Amino acid sequence: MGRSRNKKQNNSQRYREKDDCTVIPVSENPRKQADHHHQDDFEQSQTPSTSNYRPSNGIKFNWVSKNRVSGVQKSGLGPEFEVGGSDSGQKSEVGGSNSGAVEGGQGVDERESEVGERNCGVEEESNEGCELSKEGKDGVEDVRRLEELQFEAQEVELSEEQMRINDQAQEDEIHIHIELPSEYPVSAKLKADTHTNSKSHDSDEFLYTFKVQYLSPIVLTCLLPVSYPSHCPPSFTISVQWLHESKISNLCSMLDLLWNEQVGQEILYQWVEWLHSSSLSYLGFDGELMLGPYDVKSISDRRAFSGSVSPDIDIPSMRSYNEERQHENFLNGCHECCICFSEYAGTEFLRLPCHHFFCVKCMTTYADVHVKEGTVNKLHCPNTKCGGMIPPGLLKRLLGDEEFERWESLMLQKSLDAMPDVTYCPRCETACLEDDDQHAQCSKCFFSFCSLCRERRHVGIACMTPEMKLKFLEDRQNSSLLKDAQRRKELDMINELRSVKEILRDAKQCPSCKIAISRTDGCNKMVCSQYGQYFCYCCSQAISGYEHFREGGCQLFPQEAIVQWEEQINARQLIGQIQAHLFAANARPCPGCKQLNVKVGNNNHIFCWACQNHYCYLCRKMVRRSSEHYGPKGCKQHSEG
Amino acid sequence: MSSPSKRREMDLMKLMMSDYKVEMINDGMQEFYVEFHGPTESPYHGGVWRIRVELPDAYPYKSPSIGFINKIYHPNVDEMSGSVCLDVINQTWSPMFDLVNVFEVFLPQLLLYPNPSDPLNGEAAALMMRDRAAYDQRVKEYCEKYAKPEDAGAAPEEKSSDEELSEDEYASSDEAMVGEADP
Repeated sequence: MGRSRNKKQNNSQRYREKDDCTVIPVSENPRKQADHHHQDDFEQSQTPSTSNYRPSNGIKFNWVSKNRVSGVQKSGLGPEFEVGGSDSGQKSEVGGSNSGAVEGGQGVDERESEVGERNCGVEEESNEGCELSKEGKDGVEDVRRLEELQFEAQEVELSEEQMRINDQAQEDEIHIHIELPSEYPVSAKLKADTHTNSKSHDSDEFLYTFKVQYLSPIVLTCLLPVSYPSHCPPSFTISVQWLHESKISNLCSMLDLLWNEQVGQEILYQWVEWLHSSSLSYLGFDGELMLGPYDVKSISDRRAFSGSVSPDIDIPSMRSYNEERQHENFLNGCHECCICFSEYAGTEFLRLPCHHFFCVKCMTTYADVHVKEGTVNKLHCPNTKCGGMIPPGLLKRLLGDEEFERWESLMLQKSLDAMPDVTYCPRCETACLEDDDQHAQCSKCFFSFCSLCRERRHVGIACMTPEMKLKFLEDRQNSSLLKDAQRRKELDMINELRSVKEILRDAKQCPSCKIAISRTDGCNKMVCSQYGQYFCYCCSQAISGYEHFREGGCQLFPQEAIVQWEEQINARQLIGQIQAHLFAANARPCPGCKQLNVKVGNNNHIFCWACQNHYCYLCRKMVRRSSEHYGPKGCKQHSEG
Repeated sequence: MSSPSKRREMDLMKLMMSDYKVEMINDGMQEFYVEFHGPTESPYHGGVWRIRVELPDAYPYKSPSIGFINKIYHPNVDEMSGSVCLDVINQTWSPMFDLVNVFEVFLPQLLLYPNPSDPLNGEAAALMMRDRAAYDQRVKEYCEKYAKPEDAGAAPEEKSSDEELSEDEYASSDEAMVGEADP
């Protein structure tokens, strides 16, 4: 037992490898003493079942070979072991009783049942004395049978290798999962500076905190000696991934204490219970777990196995364990999808990288609808505040190959469209990038073109004017070289150009919003109805008042308008109007249009300036024939007043 | 594709639970009327509108169509038909939105912050950009005239848009110049 134990730095689950395990004595040589003790007791022991077969086999061995220890033990304790073969035989029997690692609260129960099993089976040690006694006669009978069987089966000689393997299969680890409050903070002091030997530590340190719901379990591995529970406690190791060795060592000491309080009684349940419920608070980690210390030299406590290495390894591993457990939990539960409000098992849900989850049916429909409609830019996390991306792999599963292809091409197209400097090669339609002076070169066919007019690059020469372009395109329409798609596109361009031409024939564009406005009446000071911009219809400049027209450039009224207006003006009308205005007292209204007319000189016959009707000033009636109306019988044609 | 009816039922229930007066059109849960009050900090305050909601087949993956039965003066609502510019809803729609969201968040926001870049009612959009005070005034006038509680409670045949042709079009200024006689 002079072997030293290696520290296990990695992998908490299997914390001991076969090769370097040794028996960990609780105290100096307890076993030896126990052995003797035991052997002495043996003869007088009240436990018939075990006592039975020791002497009968003639094999003396000391341990429950629950584990890997046995092989090594043999060599270490040479004289005590007589036969190799039988041990292995034993082991294989015992092996059956190991139901392997047990978890959490169940741990204790299973342990008991294991023990029970062992008692029934070929057991090599007496433990849990009370259990044994329960078995009573049946137990004795079973054991005897098993012994006999075992004897018969003993021819197998296992190699070292095989024994090692067998031993590993018999590990007896208890995984204790601590229950945490829902958001349990874990902190670690991180140093900005990587040199561990620097003197000024404090200024570089900062505290990093994250929250978990699950911590990887405390693994308590026990080896029950023959003298348990009467004299010796089990030898054990504790392995924790996230505690420093010193802290684990504290836990070990506590376990010792617990044993010492109740020597002679089974302690495993207490140990597990204590580790499960009080270990964290014992270490002072009630509210928060503090990782580390990382640069403190580890005490060599052979019972403490720490998986803690450094913050950048520990923190991710703790987080990933936490996420795994949370995910498991999720899968096992029943949840309601927030889109369709139906309840499904956790396995029917899809979880996105942004942690939002939706049922598979909803996601499938959602993806289908958007790909069908082509609105792929909206195909993101449905959560209104999130909008996180959906991974393409997931989309492929949801959509199926064909639709996924469509999605891909739509995405490509949309992305390219969004980029302002992307244009398509007129010849081969591949996307190309254009630079500042509208020049682009196709990477596929090497065509160098102007992105504005889509013709061959013309350095220094202006693009084709719309008219030229129209003509050019129209000619091309008839060419048979054009492919359908391209022809249709060019036809669209032609129609566009024609429409614009038509519009611009009679209209001018507002200088700010470019909308086409045509003037039907009035002067050249135009108001754009969109945003109220004033502009001159002559020169299309933006103006603010009438000053523009006084400068001498543009006329407020176009010449034609003035001419037209003048043509319409009737001199006689004008005079008549003025006179009516001036001599209103003497004016008489026309029976036709009610406008006031003043008579010319003495003549009572009025030719209305407004409606051109004839009427008599005196009687104010319409006159058809003046010869009939005026005369000795009728009105006087001439009179004063 | 048929969407789960459970979703529609839940949405309708939630809407009714939030104290909105909902009137079904038929039993198919496709269309119904809702009474909507103008948001308080906007010129639409005090107005009551009857809104027709239509849930498409692909609901909730596609947004519902919203229409105002009685008249409203708003850049994104067509004055004659009352339909709200679909694109505006569609841009921001998500399957997690529900009807309560539409009436509590989306519509009030639309009324408070119209989107002049995509107007159904160009005149309203232009007025809003040019003279905000005049726009507010106009809105209030329309509310007075067309958005009284009685208007919103009226029968669905309110769509008398034919008679409501604005007389403005006929208000041609033929007073012109005195003296311009037609020969």
